[in-house]
Amino acid sequence: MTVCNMSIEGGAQCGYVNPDATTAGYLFGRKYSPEPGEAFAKARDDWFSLASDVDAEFDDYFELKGEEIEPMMTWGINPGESIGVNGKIPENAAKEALEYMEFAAGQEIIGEPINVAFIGSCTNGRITDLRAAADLIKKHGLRVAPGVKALVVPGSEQVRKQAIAERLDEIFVKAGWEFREAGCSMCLAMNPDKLKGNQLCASSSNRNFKGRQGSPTGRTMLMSPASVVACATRGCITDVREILN
Amino acid sequence: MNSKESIIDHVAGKAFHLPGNDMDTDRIIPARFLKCVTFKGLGVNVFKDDRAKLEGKHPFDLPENQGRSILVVDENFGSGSSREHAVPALMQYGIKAIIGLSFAAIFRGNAVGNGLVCVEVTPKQHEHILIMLADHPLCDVEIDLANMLIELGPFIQEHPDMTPCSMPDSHRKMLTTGEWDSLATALEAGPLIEETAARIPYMAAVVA
Ligand code: SF4
Repeated sequence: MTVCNMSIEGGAQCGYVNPDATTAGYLFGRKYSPEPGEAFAKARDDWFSLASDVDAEFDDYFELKGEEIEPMMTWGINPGESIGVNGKIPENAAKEALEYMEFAAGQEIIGEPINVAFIGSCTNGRITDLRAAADLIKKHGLRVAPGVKALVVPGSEQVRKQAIAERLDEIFVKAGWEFREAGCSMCLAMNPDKLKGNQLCASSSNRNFKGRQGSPTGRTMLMSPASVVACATRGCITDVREILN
Repeated sequence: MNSKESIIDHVAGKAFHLPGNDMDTDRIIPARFLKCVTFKGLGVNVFKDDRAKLEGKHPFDLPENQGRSILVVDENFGSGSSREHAVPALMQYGIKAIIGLSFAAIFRGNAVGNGLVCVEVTPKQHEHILIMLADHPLCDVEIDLANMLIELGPFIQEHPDMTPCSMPDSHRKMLTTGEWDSLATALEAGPLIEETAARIPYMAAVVA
């Protein structure tokens, strides 16, 4: 889902992952899925028929090894303006983005103090995201740093119910996070969840455009839910692997 | 009302440039203005935060640009959120057509659905148009969708300044036949609408 969602931010008209056993496993026994048994098997075969043929030709191939990718975050005002957490902002960075974000070309982002931490959005507000975040908090006894406002907003009502059933909400609340009603929340700030002034937000949402999080001068750094937890804990931009190891 | 009346085969007006790549829809119309039931009143808030910051010096506020209806933009205009509101916000300000290096796909789809013309030009052609506009800011600009040409002028009658432009064929067809206006196109079905409605259980009561 995250990959599909972010493909669009990369300019794609469609982001797609071939249906496979994981897809079928996810859909099996769900409320609106065909009944387990013959009906499900028929639907599954139909879904699988949509997958690209083994000999399908593509215009281009990229092979990425997930474990080799450094935790990525944005430093600018569109999702493409991103670097590894230990990297430096490019020397040729767009002036407009630097001015808005109050960063300098060539500077590191690690250690940059944050004001708000947001886990949520349709891109990164699934039960698996909430589990990963809660797991990290529990395993390492993490607490939100003083002065940081930290929000967890499930991506849907279903996710929220599931999280409560798994008592993830208790883990978050105990660690100093607000566990909120499901919705878009700080992804686009149409409700009162907004940045104030030029606050800096570590956010698991998908868009970091100027003013996106409700303040015309508010600053957003996009990153994974696990990275948001790390930043909330230290109160600054942090490499989550430091906590894991 | 029929789709013939909605035919858009050319747009004429004066033009101005809004420099900058990747103008996302959050900038075109910030999210806090989206809580409207109809699209009325979006126009005054177009580029609200960018304009506030530039205190009157934003191209949308410069006195000489008032009343100009053709916008020249750079690359990837309308990227980001798929908010349709960005299109009516621009149109209510008075924009009738946009000439750009490239457009974000969703923005462009929303544009055609609202009858806003978006045409693409190559970097060379873009540069040419900007130079012409810098030299002749008040020249007439006409976008001819029948021939996919942008005419600047009038200069020397025998040698009109023509620049080719492009847009997806399907969009051009929708604009030049009036089919972009989905309501008008639907209304052309006439009595078929009521016949169909009568067959739909939850509509039958309303029709009868
Ligand atoms: S505003 Fe809501 S639906 Fe849109 S990208 Fe953000 S979380 Fe997803």
